[in-house]
Amino acid sequence: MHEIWLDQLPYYVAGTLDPAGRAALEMHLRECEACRASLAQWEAIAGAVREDAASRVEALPPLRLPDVFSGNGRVSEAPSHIGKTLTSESTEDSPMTVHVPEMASLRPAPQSRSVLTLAAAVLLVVLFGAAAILLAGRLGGVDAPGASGPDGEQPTGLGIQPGTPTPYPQATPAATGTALPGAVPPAAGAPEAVDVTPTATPIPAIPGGVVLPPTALPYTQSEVLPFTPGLTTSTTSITSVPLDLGLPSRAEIEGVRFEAQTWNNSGPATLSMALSALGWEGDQAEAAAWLRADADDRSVMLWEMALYVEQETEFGALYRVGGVPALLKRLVAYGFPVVIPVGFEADDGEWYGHHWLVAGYDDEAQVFLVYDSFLGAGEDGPREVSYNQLDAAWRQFNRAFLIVYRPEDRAEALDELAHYADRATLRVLGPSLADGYRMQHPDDPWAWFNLGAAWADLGDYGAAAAAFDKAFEMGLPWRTLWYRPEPYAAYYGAGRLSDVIRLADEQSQAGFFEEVAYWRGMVYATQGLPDLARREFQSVLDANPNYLPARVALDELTLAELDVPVFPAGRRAVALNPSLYSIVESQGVPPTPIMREELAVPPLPVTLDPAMLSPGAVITVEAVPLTPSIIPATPTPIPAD
Amino acid sequence: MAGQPWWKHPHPHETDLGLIERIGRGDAAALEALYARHGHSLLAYLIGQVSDRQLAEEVLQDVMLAVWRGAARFRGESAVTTWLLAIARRKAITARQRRPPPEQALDEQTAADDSGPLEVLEHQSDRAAVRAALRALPDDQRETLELVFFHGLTGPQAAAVMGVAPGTVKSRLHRAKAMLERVLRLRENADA
Repeated sequence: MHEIWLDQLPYYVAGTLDPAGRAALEMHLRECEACRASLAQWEAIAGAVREDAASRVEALPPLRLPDVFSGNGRVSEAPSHIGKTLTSESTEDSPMTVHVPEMASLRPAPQSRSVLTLAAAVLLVVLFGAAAILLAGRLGGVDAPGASGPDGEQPTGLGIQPGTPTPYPQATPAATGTALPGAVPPAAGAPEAVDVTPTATPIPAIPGGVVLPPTALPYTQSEVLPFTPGLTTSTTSITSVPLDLGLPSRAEIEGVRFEAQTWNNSGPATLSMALSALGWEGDQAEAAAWLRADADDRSVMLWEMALYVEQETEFGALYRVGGVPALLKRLVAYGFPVVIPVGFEADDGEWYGHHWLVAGYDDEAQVFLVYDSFLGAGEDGPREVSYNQLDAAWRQFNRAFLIVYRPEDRAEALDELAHYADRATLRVLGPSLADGYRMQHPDDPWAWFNLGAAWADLGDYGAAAAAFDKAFEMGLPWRTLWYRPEPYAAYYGAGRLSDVIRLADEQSQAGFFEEVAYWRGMVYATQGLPDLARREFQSVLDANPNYLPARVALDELTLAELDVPVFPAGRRAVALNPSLYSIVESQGVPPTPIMREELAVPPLPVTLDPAMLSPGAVITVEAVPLTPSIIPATPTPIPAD
Repeated sequence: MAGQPWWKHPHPHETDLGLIERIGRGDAAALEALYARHGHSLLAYLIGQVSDRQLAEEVLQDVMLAVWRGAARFRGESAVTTWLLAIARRKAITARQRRPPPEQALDEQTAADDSGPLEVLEHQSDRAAVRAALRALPDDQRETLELVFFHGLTGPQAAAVMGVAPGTVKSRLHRAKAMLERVLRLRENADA
């Protein structure tokens, strides 16, 4: 009888006894002196064992796996399931050979190219279900990338030509055969079912009637993201109708009151113009008092505008990313003013972030009607910006958009947003849509940047960080982070805290930024330095008391110290405050900090061979080295302001 | 793994299993994260197994390569820790076969001193004595102690890693303790 207790003592000391066994043993220990003596001995032994084992390793050597990641393209070095799928599914000249472009600096991998590209196709199918089958079908027969050299000769047949509705190619039988159980195969060769916009839409078409099965989720939903039941418990349908189908050839929202912006005030001014169309009587100064409580704030994010509208006005706002021109047309045709952030080259040749209010379009002239608070109104009110011109400026901001609506129109607003209504759907689609664009524009750093943003939004920070690495390496305007802070979340989530700090240091040479202090605080919190973290978060709130993430972060710090458990659906503070949670979730507010005990880094950072990082290795199956992955190889010079 | 310092968990919001799934999909960053999380303890285990730091580091790379290749096949029947240690154990055995242990043992004192554990114990006291005694234990007993106390495995998990019956783990623990008890008593006497 006594033996039973004695046998459990080592596991009690090791802390591996289940709670019930632990409690029972503790009761026994109270009355058994022999067991207490034995326990003391086990504790001494355990201490010595741990000390002895731990003393062997002071520093962990870097992880080096050159054979795997050197890009020699050997199938045998890829994760085994790829090879497995290949051997069972394929032959050299399989009709499923697919072009999956990858990093610009690829080396050829001639010996197994088609096998690998097939693997890519299979993987795409696995990851994105039927949508990927269609993508595979679209790309079918195109030669693999290796032969075309670093500059990646644009393969024929790839991509949608502006203005040309692309009939959807038939999915090959082979492709259909590899679909996951439960994936609904697309209607083969049904061009009318395709959501192809007739304008210059650089996003690959979304197949008609496709239902993404839950099993096709390309990742394990990270706990960092609030739990979204729709993702895991039900299927998500994608609209099968072109977003601008049946719209009039011209539409314009009346009643916009033009406002010429004051300094650095394009955000509040544009939002004010948008609200004016709904009858709002405030102006840019009123909006700026909240949005730019810190008068030096140079960038107002769309999520901040959404919070402002929701909390401070009688109107509602919805903010999404990854839009298409056809959606803009649809929204304005139904009377919803749309604020979009755009890249803007000023007279001084410098690149800035800017905003436009999209208030109309004209198919005949192929133009959007926009209000530009900086350049001024056009002759008859709005200015004309060509579809192509707008998209070129818009894509630099991930095609983000914000619509404002009257409270009674909320249901209609969501309806007109079609598959953009549900953020969960957008998240899942984001990387594949962004990657589709990247495939067509491999030389566009913004394509990589947007891919990174999409991965980060989905919670795959490793893939996101690698895509951002690539974008930085290709070169971005030096003010990029002022307006697009997404890389912070990616590097932070990927555990690359030193990169977060380095970016923050570089950016802060140009002055104070809420995002910089916020992410510094996040790093400090993670490193177990709550006092420093508090100081950073407080500095954000001192400058701008409306910067919600910093408020949540401060709450998180306090709650963590009080040992309040992390709730399954999000972080502590948001879980304790459901309305806050719904705001954070619905408006895409940046992630709140992950506390030391949840995300921590070793004091001896593991240095990973840069060759190992291959952005979206998931998608680009040839695990090719992404040349030095550390952020800008030559740091972008940041002039002192 | 229980009892590890916080910095050994670089991404605790993601489970080990989640990392393995990502590695199975070819996500190198996940492999990095897994390495950051388990590299220290695996290396400690391997040094104990092959008695040579450099060789242990090489074997550790082999282990991570095996993880990279095998992650997609991992079905989660065992805890990830158990799986990793089982791989490490197999790789260590292969490495030992490939390269005979160095002439000079890791602990020079133990190697120079030809006496058994009890004799070692009598010459020393306190924690250092226990540690020296640990190193003098038969390999299988020392390994069992480490799996339970350092790696935080349960009895059945430790048995799975070593490929022995759960009862064997129990008897190894008790035999190890019996060997070490003497030095522990010496300590108690010294304290008294």
